[in-house]
Amino acid sequence: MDYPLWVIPGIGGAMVIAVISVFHVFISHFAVGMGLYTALAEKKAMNSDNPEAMKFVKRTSGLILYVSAIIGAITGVGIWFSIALVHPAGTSALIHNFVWGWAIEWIFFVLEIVAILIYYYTWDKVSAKFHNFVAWLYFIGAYLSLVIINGIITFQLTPGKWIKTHKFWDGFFNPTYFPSLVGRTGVCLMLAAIFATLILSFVKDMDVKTSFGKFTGIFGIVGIILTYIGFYWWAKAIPANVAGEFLGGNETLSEFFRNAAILGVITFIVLFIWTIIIPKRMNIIVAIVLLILGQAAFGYYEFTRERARKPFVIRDYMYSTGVLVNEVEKLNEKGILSKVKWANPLNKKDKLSIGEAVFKAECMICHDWYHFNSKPLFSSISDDPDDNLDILDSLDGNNLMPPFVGTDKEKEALAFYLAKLAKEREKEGKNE
Amino acid sequence: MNSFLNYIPAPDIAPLPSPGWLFVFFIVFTLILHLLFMNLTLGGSILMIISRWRKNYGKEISKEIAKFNTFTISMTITTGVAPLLFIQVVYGQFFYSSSVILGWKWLLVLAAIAAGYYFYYLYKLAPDYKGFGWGVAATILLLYVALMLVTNTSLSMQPEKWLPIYTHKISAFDVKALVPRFLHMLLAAIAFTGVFLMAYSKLRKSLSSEVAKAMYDFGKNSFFGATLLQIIVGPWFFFANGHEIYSKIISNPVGIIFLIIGIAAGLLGVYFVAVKGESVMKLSVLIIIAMVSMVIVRRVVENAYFSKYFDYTKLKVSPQWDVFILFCLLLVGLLIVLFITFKKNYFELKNKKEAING
Repeated sequence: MDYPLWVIPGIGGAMVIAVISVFHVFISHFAVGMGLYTALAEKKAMNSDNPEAMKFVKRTSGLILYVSAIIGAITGVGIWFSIALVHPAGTSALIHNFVWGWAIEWIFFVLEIVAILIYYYTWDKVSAKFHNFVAWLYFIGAYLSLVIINGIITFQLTPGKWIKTHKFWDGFFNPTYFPSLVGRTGVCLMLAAIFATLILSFVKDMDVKTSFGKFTGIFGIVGIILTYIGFYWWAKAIPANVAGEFLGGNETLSEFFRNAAILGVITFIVLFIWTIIIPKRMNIIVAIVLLILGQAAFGYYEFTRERARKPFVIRDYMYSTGVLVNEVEKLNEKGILSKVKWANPLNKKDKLSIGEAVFKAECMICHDWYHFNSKPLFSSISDDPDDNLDILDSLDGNNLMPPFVGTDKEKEALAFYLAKLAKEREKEGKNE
Repeated sequence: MNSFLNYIPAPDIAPLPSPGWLFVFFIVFTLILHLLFMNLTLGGSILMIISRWRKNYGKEISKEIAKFNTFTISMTITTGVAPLLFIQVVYGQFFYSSSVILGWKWLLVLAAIAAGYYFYYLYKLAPDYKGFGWGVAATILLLYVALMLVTNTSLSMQPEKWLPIYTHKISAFDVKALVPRFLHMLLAAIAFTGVFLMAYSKLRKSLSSEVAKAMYDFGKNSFFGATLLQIIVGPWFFFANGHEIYSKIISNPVGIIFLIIGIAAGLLGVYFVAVKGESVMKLSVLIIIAMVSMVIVRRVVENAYFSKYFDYTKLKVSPQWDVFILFCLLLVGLLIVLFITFKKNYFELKNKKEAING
């Protein structure tokens, strides 16, 4: 990576992205699903004689404005800001290929935001028919944003034919595009239903609670079923060697994927009981349990997808380190620090400084010195540089790690630096 | 040789998906859209604070600004995404580098916007005229956002500062022309919002005639005062860029023509207010002309800085015309849908009001 490096020991750039993304994926999927939910629920309330029904819809629509249009929009931009800080090379590669896709998404983003502002502030001030039309506009804008961004996210994991052609549509409609779209559509519905139970639990009118409870239940259950279909298909559409990692190959990844599936089933059961069978008993505790279950299920899936992509940012094109697959040979000759100049900005020549610079260039993005993912690092390295050299040589055989890239001198310096880190950690351990 | 030039990243190896000039056009076009709202957000925030201390209906004016600014913040964020996207295509190696060098300071911009946004709501929704402290907090946060945007833009154009800042030898704010640039933007935002308040006071029917009059005068004075101050800050900013840059602006026909138009529009507005008697329409047209002209001058300045290091017209292009055409069609579609929706919304609001009033 030619760019300056954002060094934040103790946190790690990947952790920053993860924290912002966790917020964003939940809110954004909820925001899309809630658009459909509100449009349909408003229609249902229009046909109802009970004025409480419309009040319920109004309250749920407030969630979209105050949560999704503010935090959703800002965390969305936040992911983009943070990936640009942590991984400018990857971000630049994505933007160079998909800028017009992003520009199209921006159009839908504008539609989405304008529609929700009009929708929320014209409650009771315009005809019900027009108001409902604006809800549909919001949903269309929000859903089409997903339709676009899904192409870019899935591209990173399965770039498909793009690797050879470098054509926009080959990358966009990649092998996991449609499965992921179906799965994510399901997640949108599921999360909207779950958030709606938060409002439902405070509804006092038993008619509204029952009829909208059932409506919410059906909405969420359709969502969970779609989620299962989509992600089953998704797992099948991924090249076998990659899918193998989360279908038994790698312990952590497989556990993540299994947890996503199991928690999804439990969410289904809880939702079914408290919305379809005993909707009158829906209360805030059940709603919060659902919220945690649903988010955890989806969260595990998102982590599986992110981890399955390792050691690439764009599979088979660019490694997590920002090194392009096709430049490995050149960099083995010239040295990784010929590219990552910012890892050693003062151009120090001693072995330890070079080792530290190589660490910053190749390891830091995934393994922080202290917390983020430092465990696998410190459980592998040794205080003997020769052992570390063996580890670095063996990276070629590890599916989730990129190969060491650089000259032998750089490799030795890194092994030397890792030995120093191991010694320091050992000392700290003894002191504790 | 360890020159700073060695530390400027190479442009992305992927070809541009359209010719560079097209992205430059969209940077300018979407920046104009963004500034329409950004000026109101930033200038409105300052005026929301200042107006509070006015004896004459100050509280009412302050609260009214808080009300419309929750919309403008949303639109500022939404329209701000586009120019940031396009700048990354053409000048990514500069923009990413300066962003990384700013690090947390840059990322905190988003937290500041989110918190500022919620604080705005707390002020807006507070009963009577309470909650002013939230308004002040929001304004401070938005000023931080403005400062960081200006800092990142300036830093991206001055790669000679990158290493010293990265290695903590100098402060991140130690970049050329930062202070005048910031003040120039701030005053422009205040002047713009001043004219907007004049128009708003005429259009907003729910305001009492006394409040409307007070708001009109306040808007006029804000425009007048801020634009007068530009007579000092404008040249300060111009010359602070250094001879190399300002001579490039003067020698570029586009740069000099739009610079003159922009300055003339501002001064003409001041002249109308002070001597001839102003009209909202005239001032609105003049301030828009001034803003658009200055965005074009800004582009000339940007090019003057970046062209020292790199010529974006020489980048390899592998056009994606089909996707671009789809983008254009959807953009036109969006404008049509928004136009129809706003029109319909206007009539719906009117009909319903008439129905209620009988």
